[in-house]
Amino acid sequence: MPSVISSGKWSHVKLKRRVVTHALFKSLLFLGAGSIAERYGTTDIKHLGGVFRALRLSGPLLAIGCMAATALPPTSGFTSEFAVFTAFVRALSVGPELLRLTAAGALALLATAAGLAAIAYVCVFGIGLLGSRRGKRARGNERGDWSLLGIAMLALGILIIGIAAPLLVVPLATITLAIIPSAHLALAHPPIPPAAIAALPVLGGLVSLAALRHMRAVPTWTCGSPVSKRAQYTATAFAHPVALVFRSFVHPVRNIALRASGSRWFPKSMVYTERIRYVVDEAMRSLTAFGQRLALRARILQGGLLRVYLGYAMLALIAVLLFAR
Amino acid sequence: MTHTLQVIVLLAIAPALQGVLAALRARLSGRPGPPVIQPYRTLRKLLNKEALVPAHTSIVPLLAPGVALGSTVTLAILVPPIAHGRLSISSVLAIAFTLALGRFVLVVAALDTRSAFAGMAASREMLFASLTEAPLILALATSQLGSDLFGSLLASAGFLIIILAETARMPVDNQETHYELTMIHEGMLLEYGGPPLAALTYASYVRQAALFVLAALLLPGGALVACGAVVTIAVIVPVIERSFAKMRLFEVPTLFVAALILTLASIAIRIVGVGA
Repeated sequence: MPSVISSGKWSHVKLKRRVVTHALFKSLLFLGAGSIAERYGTTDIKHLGGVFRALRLSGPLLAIGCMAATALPPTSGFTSEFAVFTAFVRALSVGPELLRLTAAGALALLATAAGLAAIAYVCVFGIGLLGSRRGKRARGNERGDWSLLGIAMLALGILIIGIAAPLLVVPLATITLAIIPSAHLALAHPPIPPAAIAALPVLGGLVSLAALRHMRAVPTWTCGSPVSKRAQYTATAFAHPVALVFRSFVHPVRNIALRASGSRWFPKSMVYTERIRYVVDEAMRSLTAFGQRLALRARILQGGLLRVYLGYAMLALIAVLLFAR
Repeated sequence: MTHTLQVIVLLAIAPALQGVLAALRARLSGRPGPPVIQPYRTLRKLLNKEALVPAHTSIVPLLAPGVALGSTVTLAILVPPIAHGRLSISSVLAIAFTLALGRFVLVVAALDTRSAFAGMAASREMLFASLTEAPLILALATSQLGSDLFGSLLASAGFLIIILAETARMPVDNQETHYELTMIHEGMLLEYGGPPLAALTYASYVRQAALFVLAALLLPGGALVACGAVVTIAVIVPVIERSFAKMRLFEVPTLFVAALILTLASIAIRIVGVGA
C-alpha cells in the first residue's frame, strides 16, 4: 500500500508542525501569564478580567495565543489541527477494517477533546481577558519594554505559520528525510493554505470594526438593570454546566453557605464553593499505589541473603531438569 | 460557474428559507403565521435603525458581527456544488472549523459585554458546541465513504440533530421566545441592535440554509435528490419543533450522544459493509 506509507511520512511532517505550533503558543501563553502575574499579582481567572483593554500590547497577543490553542484559523494551531483531523478522516477510508473503525472512534474522541479545549480557552479569553476587572486594582502600567518582544515574536510566528503553512513544510520535510532516508516526499503536495477560510472573516471583522468604531456607545442593557462588575459571569459559573454533564468524571460538589440575618431570604453574606474530583486521576493513582504495594511485597524475594539466592538457583535448576527432561 | 451561482442563490434565499420554516411552524400550531418574506422585512427594519455599541468593552464586540458574517459566507462557499456534490476531506474540516470560528467570536463578544444573560448563553453554547463537534465532523466525514442508502440516512439523521442545535431549534433551544433564561443562541445577541444585529441575524439564516444543503448532500444521488432532501428537511424540522417540548438543559447532551451513535453506526455499517 504505497499511499498509506507515503501518507505516513507526511504524518511525520505534520506531527512536527504540531510540535512547533504547540511550542509557539504554549510559550506565548506562559509569557503572557507572566505579564499578567506581574501586573495583577495573580493568575487566578476569578480575580482577572479587563486584561485585554488594560494591557494594550500583551492583551491582544495573548488573544492570538488563545485562538491558536482553540485551533482557530488563521493561527498555526488551526493548520496543525486541520492536518491531524485530515489524517484521521483519510484513515476512515484506507486500510484494514479494524483500523478504520478505530479511526472513527479516535476522530470522535479527538473532536470532543478539541471542543472541551475550546471551552477552556474561551473561558480564559472571554472571562480572564475580557469584561471588567473582578479583583482589586492593578498595580502600575504595562511595561512597554523589550520583554514584550518575545511574546510579539511568538505571536508573529503563530500567524506566519498559520497563514503560510506550506512554507514550513519544506524545512520539516528535510528533517523527515534526514531521519527516514527512504522517504519519497513530493514537496509540491500542500494545496491552498487552509487558513484561506479565515480571509472573509478577517475582512468582515475589519469592516465591522471600522464601521462601528464611532457609533454611539450605550451601557450594556441586560434587561435594564445596571451591570456591576460583580454580576459578571465567572469562570466557575461558565464551567459549571460542563462539570455537571461530565459529572461521572469530575464529581462536582457544590456548597453554598448563607449567613442569615433574621430572614433567610435576605442573607447577610454568601459563600459559594465548588470542588471537583479528578476521578480518572484518582483511579490511576490508586492503581499505581496498588502497584507500589505489590512491588514492596515482591522485594521480599530479593532478601539480599546469599543462601536465599543459592536456593533460587537450585530451584531453577530442579525446574529446568524436570521440564527439559 | 455553477458553484458561484449556487453561492449567490444560497445567500439570496436563506432568509426565505427561515420564512418558510416559520410559516410551516405557525400552520402546524393552527396560526396563520407571518408571510414567507417576513425575514427580509426584519432585516430591512434592522438595517434602517441606528447601530448602537455596548460601552466599556474592548474591540471584540465590534469585530464580532463582521467575523460571524464572514465565516458564514465562507461556509456557504464551502458547500460543494449540489450537482456533483461530494465533500472533499479539506472542506469537511474547513466547514467544522469555520463554524467554530464564528461561534468563538460570538461567545467571547458576549462575555465581553459583562451581561449575565450573555454569559449564561455563552456558557451553554460552548457546552453544546463541544458535544456536537464529534457528531458534526463524523457525519460530514461519512461523505468520504462509499454510498450506502441506509448508512447515509443514519448520517443525515445524526446531522439533523446537529442542525437543530446549530440553528437553535426546539428540543434544544427556542427561537420564538425572547425569554432570557431559556435562550442560548439569541442570548448572546442581546446587546446588539440595528445593522450589526442584521448582520448576525442574516448570518444565522445563511448558516441554517448551508447546513440544510449539507445534510441533503450526505445522501447518495444527484442534484434532484439533494433538492428533494432540502425540501424534506424543511418540512421535517418544523414538525419536530411542534412535536417536542424543549428538553431540560442537562438532558440535551443525551440527544447529542444519540447523534454520535447514529453517525458512528453509519460509518461502521459502511466500513464493515453490512448494508451492502
